[in-house]
Amino acid sequence: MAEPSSKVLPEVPTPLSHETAGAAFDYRGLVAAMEANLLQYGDSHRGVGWRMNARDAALQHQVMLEGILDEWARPVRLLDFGCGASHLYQHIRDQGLLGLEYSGLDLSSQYLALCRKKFPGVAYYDQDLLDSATELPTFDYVVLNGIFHYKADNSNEATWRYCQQLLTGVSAIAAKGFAFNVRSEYVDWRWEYLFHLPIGQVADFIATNISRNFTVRHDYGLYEYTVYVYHTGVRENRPAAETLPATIG
Amino acid sequence: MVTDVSMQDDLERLTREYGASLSTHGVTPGGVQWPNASDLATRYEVLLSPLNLAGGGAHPVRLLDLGCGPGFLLDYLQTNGLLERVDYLGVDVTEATMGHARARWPDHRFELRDVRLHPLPAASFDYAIICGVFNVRYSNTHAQMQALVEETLRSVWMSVRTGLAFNVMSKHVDWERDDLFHWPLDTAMAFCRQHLSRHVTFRLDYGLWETAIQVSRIPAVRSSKVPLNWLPDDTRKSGA
Repeated sequence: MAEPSSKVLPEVPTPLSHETAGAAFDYRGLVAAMEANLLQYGDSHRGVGWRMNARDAALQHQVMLEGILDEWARPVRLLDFGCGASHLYQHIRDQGLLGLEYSGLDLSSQYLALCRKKFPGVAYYDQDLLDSATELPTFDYVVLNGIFHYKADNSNEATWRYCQQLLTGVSAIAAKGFAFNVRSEYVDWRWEYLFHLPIGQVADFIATNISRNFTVRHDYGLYEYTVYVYHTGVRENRPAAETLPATIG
Repeated sequence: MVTDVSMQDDLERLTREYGASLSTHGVTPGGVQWPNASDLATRYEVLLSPLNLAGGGAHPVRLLDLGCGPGFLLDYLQTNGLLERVDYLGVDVTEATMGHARARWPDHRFELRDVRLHPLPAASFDYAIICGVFNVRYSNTHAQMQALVEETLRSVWMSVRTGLAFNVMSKHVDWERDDLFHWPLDTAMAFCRQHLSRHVTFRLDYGLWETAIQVSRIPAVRSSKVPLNWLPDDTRKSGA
């Protein structure tokens, strides 16, 4: 692995509206469920748990990478958090995208073994970000594709706490920004094992705890949205400004 | 063109400040109550970003500028070399403001019109932007302002072929002001999904305390290829 950073992972944020009591989100159980997909479906989008069609799964990779800003220096150090079979890297290669330095992280030894076999030159990490002993290097941009869609039989409250913990941890290792997708409330059907989040709830958490600088895309035709959070970016290039359209001043 | 705009009460409350303000401040962004000029340029840049005007195109974009004020969008387009890229119509509701627009841009089209009472022809534009119309509600209640916003958007939506963009104040601020219109993202999304389209982007990434909301009739363009090893079980189903 790369040299450890001195970055200390932040405190777990306080849940917005729920008691901290109750079962914790069983993400290790989810890893096992995903590995069962790999066994059944092999190295495809279905093998990392998607039930949507292949074109939609490919679109998610495109959308994730569209959060990278033009003004960022290249190469962009990219971490694919929960990389599964590294299909994002396959996408980058298939599209011939340049200027990205890809790394993957996953808690599944089976996916990582597959990844390392397919892409021996790529750096992969197997650390648990929520383990306080974990040390990870810093990246420019971290993407979490499909990490929050499937909650199995975890409660909504536990899943939301887990989301906040993970996003806070990811924010600390993402120097310029990060992106994640989550299922929308604006859907035609629901399934109890999937997790849906109101846009405003995510926006409140991000704006209060992480950054005022973010975009929510619900424009690409899937039943989810992608949030891009920036520590730097557009605002950097702008002059300091009064910000209210006001009669005052 | 509609010449006899009998102004609805909510619009009258919204626009009564501007006449005096333009006299005091002159025809500047300050004259239409914006705090400064560079932020207005940023707002235009963000609202127009889905059009990629700088990228060129076979035909000018038929652009509706609702709440055009003294025609500042045309200044912005000219300064950025984009004026030739649009086929422009500016719409507003007060004679005084529109007089400034016509005097400053005599070769461009402007109309006095409340689009809620007199909708523009269906699909007569490619895109509409509504900049700074919904941020301040003055003495309108939140409910009155929300009704004005929703009625306006529904009317404009019928007249655009591809989409529209507008700004409102964000809820994600340190404090809210009583005379501003802060529209929660989920309320806006629920409205868009029901009456406009579910293909919506919320931008809060440009450093102002507002949200730019971009609504499109069609989903974002797909450029990614599908890995061949993913396809077998899908081709049967979707014929993709």
